[in-house]
Amino acid sequence: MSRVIGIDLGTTNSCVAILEDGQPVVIPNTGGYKTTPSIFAVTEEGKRLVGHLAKRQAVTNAKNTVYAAKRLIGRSFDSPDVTKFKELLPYELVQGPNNDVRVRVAGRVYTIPEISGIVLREMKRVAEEYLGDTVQQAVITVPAYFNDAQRQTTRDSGRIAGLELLRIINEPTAAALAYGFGRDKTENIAVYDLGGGTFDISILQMGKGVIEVLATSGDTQLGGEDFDRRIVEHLLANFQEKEGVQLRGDTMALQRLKDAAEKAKCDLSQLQSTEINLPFIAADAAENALHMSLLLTREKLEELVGDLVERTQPIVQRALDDAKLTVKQIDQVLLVGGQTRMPMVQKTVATFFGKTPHKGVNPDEVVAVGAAIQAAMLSEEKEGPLLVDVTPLSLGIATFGGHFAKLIERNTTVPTSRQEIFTTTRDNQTAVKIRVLQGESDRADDNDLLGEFVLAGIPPGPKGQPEIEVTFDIDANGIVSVSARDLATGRAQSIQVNPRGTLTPEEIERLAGAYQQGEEVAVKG
Amino acid sequence: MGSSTDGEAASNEAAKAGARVDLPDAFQREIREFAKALPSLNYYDVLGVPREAEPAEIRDAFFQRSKTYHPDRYFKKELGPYGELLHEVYKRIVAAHDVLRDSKLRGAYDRSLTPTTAESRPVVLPPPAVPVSRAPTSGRGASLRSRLGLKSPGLMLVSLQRQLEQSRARAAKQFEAAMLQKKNGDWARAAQLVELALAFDPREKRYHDELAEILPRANAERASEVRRKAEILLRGDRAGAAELLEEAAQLSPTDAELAHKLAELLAGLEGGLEKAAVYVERAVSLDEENVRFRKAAGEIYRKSGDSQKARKHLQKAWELDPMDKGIRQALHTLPASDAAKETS
Repeated sequence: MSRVIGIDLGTTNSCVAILEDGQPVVIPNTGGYKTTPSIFAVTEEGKRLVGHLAKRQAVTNAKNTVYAAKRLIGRSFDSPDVTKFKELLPYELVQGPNNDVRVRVAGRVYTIPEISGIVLREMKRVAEEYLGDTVQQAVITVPAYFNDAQRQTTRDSGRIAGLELLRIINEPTAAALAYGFGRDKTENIAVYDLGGGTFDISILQMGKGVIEVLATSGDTQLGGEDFDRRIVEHLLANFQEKEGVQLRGDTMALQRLKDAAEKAKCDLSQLQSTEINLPFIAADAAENALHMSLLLTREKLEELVGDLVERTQPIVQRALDDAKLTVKQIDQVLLVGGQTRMPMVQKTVATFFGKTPHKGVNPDEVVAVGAAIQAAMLSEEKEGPLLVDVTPLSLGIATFGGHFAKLIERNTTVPTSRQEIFTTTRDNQTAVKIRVLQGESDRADDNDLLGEFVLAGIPPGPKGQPEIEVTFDIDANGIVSVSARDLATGRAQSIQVNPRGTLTPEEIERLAGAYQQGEEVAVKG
Repeated sequence: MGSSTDGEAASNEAAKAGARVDLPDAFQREIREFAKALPSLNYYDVLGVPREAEPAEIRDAFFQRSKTYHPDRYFKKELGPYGELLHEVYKRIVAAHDVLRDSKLRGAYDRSLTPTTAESRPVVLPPPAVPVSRAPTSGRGASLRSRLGLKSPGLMLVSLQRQLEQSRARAAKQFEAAMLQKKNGDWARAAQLVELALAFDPREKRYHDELAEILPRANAERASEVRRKAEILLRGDRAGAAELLEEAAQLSPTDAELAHKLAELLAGLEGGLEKAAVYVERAVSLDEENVRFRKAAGEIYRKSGDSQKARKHLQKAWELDPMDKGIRQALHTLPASDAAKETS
């Protein structure tokens, strides 16, 4: 039987793990690193690189190096987030035929699932090399606040990489699984996950081999990369002021600034101050070389990003409220994601919860380990921890006047089903359109449309008289079924909501086929 | 995006009815029983906790139930119709926990329960999948209703009626499949399918009647099969044979010869005397005038040191067959002290 791996597909780095003889093992790549940069690049000679090799050449080849693709996954091209993000990226974004985001690398246009698929394929290869066997199935993690389209597009990426995804689980949940593995204590825990691109908070209770998610919340547009960007902005402004030169349009300079910012940020987790030196960053009007040299203190950094850290607090409170727990009832706080290494973040969390966060987990690896545990639990019938999960976003239908009627609230434990009765709004109306939505806004249009169908054949009558019963049902796999029934005639119509990613099934199959056929990516390290 | 009609769903149901199921028989039975009982269970029953249970007790019960009934436990298994039953059962477990873990919801739910126990209540419609206390009678839900010109909350009952009809349709499919198996002479399979039908629709008299007819035959069939296997085992693995015969004895509780045979077998096994006594008593009660059964009972009680009972059975055996010297001898070998006690 082929083994099932757990993959943490991160914004910045990815990690793969497996359960071996009941023990989680984080699998190192050929270079001996336990995490691999989620970066894809094409060199001038047309060679494709992924991982550390791609990262190493990023500065000299910024235009053709794609990083942080996860922030674009499942998003539409004209969304405000993408528009904002586009300005800051050294690589070129183009609009796809489905209004999806694509990137142009060395003259070829790639879809986002393809880029993520390339990274996943690399993780699959790392695992196969270690196991000496092919791997076809995986459990993969996503930020808790990913919507259906983002989850489905992640699934599509797996498909392109030749992986069947048994389950997609939330990153903080995976971290809790890893923490709870082999632990018998009954506890309430909070997982504070500040990664490269997203912030997630989950509240769970565990004991007796069961881990139950009580609530989860987050912000898909808040992460370590935002911290880096704040530093870059600071460097740009500082340089403009000192030298009168605007570096914003210079992709190579921007890439160097980004690298320097990230490094300085990491240094400042240990040191009180660090120096940023970037020689020959630009030239002035007289073609004289200009250098950047600047001292960055921890204090200044905290001033630059303080509001970002602050932004997490109300989200944590909301998760606690949803879980019906108070801060005092939390027994353990786990920190996940590289950005939680920052002392300011740790201090904020410790102050909020009134206790020092748990030190035992490796924030870079714990999510992949949790995914591996869930993989084993599903595929090998292990007595391993059983995960009782919740639905991350509210589900409902659009109603008259553009309102959103929620039938299933976010953080509802799955499986579950709910019913409501609706009626017509016009006299002699013989059909109703059921539009299935996901999101938190009361306005229908602000939420994501998951699917729609029409229930016809309603006998004509005055408005408000027909009774249309709408039922939502979510199974343990998170698959949503919606049915509508005219109670007078018994006529019914139902759909299984097949979440749509940004690619059509045909495109996915074609890409999966192409990569299967050995459109090989140069790899090593 | 796939859209399907009820007709398709029904034919899927029929296909599932004949499918292979990768669950132990005992667990299949357990799921059927649970699903069958759902309509009459309140949230406390569903979690198996008393009405006055502490929050920690409710949480632990939920964890325990999750470990047994969460569909993920059987992720790679072929579940056939049990997938759906498990889904329904676990949904109720979740709903029960959702309400009982929240003191406000629990209070409202407690007030909605009649003070009498489940047994004394008439059979009620299944509580809605929406926890009662969460049904929108006020607040956001109510405003939604008025905005849409919705009918009174009483309509939820109508929707339950629909839900019930869906279950009935499913039950009918299982029943149809059962009748097919019955025609083929597969009584065991037929009985299982009727039980499934009952799990979906516990109130249909026709199913109960049919089960009453099929079950004894299915059990007899299974018992004879088990006995055949036991005969083979008797030559070697006597403990294994005893286990199989016990199953057979459970399936045919009125077979005195079987009970006797099992008792003799158990008496020869280490630690088997206690059970042997149970089965030999059964044999005797089914045929009180049987000398062999009485003798066996005497022998088993003698071995277990209960001289009083041994004497009773042996004396009866002697009355039935005064010419049997063995019985006389056995009576004499019983310790005298007991006899003394008896007379004193």
